[in-house]
Amino acid sequence: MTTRRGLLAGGAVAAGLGALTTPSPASASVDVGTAIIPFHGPRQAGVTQDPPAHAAFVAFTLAAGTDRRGLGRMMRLLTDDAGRLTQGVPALGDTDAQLAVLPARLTITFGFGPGLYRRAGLTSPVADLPAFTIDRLEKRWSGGDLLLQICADDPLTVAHTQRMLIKDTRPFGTVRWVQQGFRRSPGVQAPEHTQRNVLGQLDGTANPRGAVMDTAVWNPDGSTTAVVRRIRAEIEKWDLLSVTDKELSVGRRMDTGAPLSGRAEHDEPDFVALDASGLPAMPDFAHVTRAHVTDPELKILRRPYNYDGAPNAAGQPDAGLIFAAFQRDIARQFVPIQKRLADKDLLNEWITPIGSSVFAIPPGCAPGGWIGEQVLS
Amino acid sequence: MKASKAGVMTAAFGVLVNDTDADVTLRGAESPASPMELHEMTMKDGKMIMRPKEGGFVIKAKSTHELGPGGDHLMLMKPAQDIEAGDEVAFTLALAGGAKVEFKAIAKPFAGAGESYDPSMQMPSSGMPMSPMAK
Repeated sequence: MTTRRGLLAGGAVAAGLGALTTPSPASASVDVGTAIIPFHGPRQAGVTQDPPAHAAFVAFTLAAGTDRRGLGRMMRLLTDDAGRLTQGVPALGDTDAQLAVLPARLTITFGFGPGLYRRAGLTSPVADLPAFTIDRLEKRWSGGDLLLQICADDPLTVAHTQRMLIKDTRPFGTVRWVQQGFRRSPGVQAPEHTQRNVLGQLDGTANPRGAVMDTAVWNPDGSTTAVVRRIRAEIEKWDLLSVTDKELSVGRRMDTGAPLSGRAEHDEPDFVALDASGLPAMPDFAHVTRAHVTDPELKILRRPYNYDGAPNAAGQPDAGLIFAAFQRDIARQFVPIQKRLADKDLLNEWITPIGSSVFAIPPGCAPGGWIGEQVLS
Repeated sequence: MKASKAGVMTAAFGVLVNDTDADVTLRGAESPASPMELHEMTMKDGKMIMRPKEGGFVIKAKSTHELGPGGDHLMLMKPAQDIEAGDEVAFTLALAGGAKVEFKAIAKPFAGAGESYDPSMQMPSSGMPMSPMAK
């Protein structure tokens, strides 16, 4: 990509030589728009795929009249929409069908909150998280009976999908909250890179990979669970830190993401290694030290998106992380990590959880089936 | 398929696809959900009106015929029960020559185009396209 400064400089040089050079255009690939992630399968899409650049998390509160039969109708309808939209086909009754033809790796993932199971007269496989001392939860970012996680490499695709799905969910409930977030755009970094959050930290280095992903994330029936937390970043305070202090609070180098005991991002942190002054290279108060899990069965899949709202009049940002985590069992995997972080994690000084919700992610479905069929029919 | 209350007219839409080398005429439609008629929208005395389509819909050879709001559509005259969002409704299309084409459509809530299929309704409601591929 040629910057304006580059263009001006190039122009000056060219003028000096008496010849103009044409800047090479950015090599944007239209393949990004037409890329498709299959919708049907034993597991829902949008969990273990490399996260697309944009996401909308939409939570609903079910209407009083939405019973188990109504939930079945709702999920048949939404599954029909999702099966089409994710494949670049307009939904039935899509009033702006031309917005549906570039799915850009669109995924639509459905989550069921505890309230949905109550409404269906069923025992919920997920329960709200216990209260943590660091939490400053706001109702407008918390809870929810139904979750739609909409991800795509293009924000217009996400917007159209969000609109279409909300329209079709309206007979069954009301929008409780919407959280929109982003990661790096496609082509900016290599696929499968670790995302950088608005505090500049690499986020998700310790994610399960390969076979460990199955162990940590998927139940044998193709279900999993999601925790969605809104974590406000106290960037103004973070700005006051030196790079060394930032690195000590996280336990990783800001530039490479390497643990302070190692050299490269994916080096295993060494919690007995000492630094030059004889202190542990990985401080016991550091985020990575507190969050570290060795047992593959206890790992969680972090799939966060950044958010960055409009700053206030004083220029203070409204930014942070939509922290989405997937794991087989919230109580066994997520809660112990969060508890250790709440008890002692220096990073808590610069982050504040302001929203929290939990959802069961039911198995995927075959063509002709619908998400939630095993639970609701 | 536009969701509706029992007894309240509603409509189904879609695209009729004729892959054959000969014209196909759609003579009629049936559904367990409601008595049905084939309707068209047309101008009369400066007003858009809806009326039964004489002779049915002709789908030209190797072409498609769209059923949509403001145009030809499948009319459900009097649903026996509420057709709620997410309900699946079965249809059978009768072609000239006796062939039948069956399909199912999912009912959806409001979807724009400001069109009413119920003459008794004061506020414009709406219909919507759907895409069962029939031939």
